Amino acid sequence: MKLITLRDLAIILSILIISVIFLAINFRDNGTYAEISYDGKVVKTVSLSEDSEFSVNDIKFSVKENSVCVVSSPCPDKICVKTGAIKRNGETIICLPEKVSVRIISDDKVSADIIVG
Amino acid sequence: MKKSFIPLIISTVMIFSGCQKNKIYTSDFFAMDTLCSIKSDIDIKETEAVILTCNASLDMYSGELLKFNEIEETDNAYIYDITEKTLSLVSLYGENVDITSGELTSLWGISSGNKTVPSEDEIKNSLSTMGYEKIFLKDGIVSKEKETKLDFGAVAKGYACDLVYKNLSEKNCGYAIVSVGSSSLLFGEKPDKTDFKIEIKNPDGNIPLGMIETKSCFVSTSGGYERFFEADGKTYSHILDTKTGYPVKTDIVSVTVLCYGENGGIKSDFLATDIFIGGTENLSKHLSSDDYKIVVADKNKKLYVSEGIEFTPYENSGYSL
Ligand SMILES: [Zn+2]
Repeated sequence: MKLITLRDLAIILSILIISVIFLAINFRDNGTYAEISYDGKVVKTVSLSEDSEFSVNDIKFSVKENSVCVVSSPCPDKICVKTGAIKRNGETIICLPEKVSVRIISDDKVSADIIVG
Repeated sequence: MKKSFIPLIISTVMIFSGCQKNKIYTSDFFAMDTLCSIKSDIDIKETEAVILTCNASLDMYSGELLKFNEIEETDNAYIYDITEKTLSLVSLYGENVDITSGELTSLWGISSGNKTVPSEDEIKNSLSTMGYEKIFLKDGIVSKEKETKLDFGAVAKGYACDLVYKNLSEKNCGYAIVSVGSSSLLFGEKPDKTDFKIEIKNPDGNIPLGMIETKSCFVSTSGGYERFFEADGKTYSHILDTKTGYPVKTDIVSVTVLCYGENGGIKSDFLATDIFIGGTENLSKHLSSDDYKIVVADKNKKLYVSEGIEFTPYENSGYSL
């Protein structure tokens, strides 16, 4: 008696291929990103794995050592600048006067559902 | 050995195939003088509307509250409800949180971004407009003295979470995480059935203080480095001591409060401010409370944690129990 028939093999192979596709879907975008939003709508997504500098609505951002911070902003309170650099999944920088927010998105499975304080 | 190989492959494959995520709706928007964010397994348009409607009544710089602050009476249902609920919290926990402090808040320019130190006379003047004896509730009408200005900044974000909780319960929502700035609602049960994980930021901006694991609850915070402002070369807390009229002097740097069930939002918001102002000398009664749980950090890098809360402090945060 054969342990594996050709039909078995075909089934196994096709299921394997399907699962690899799902795997690819679930694990794509692996890495950490900063999503920059204006008035709640995402306007820019930046990888944190490469250092860079950019601006959104006159707010200057800098990506360095896998973290992102606001370098300068025209807002009066400068809370966004004072918040400093963020890098953990779910962390945010908020500039209320300019209606700009930054959120870290990563695939980190053990990270928090919410960051407070 | 070989025979068990096939089911092993198949089950492994099925586990991976099953990884496809359920549809989760998310939304970010500005309301209640802060960033709000919603994440849920049901359509969140209505949840968003709940917060925006609440905002239209309670925002100090627009809408119904702005109008009411210039006159003596209002029949606005939101203003009535939040005032009534705040008064019952005040009767339980005292007057550290004072919603009649609108004049003082504007004077210090808090939340409008305009940070200046007012003169002593100005502060004396605004203190004279304050006090719980100056507001009355009767038959759906809130009345106050004309000069008294209400400011719900210390309770409105938590109150908005309560309204969201009511709405989500009616809609049989299974799971939602709703943040209204410093107050949040962790609703229902996560798709993977595990506890909600709440990470508490480090007030110094480094490694977080630790992680709370909890069932569904409301969580509010007070303190934190971003809630200070500079004026005339000095650093001030943005939370005002409504007895002196000056920014509060406290030895607490971070407060996190967890409350459970209906009306837990406004309660957690109120208590976060109340505990922050009260300082560590008034902590013991809060640490031993059964119906809410707290995690507090003080100036001396010490952590205070309620019994019966699942909190894991992080090493190297600089703070310890
Ligand atoms: Zn800003």
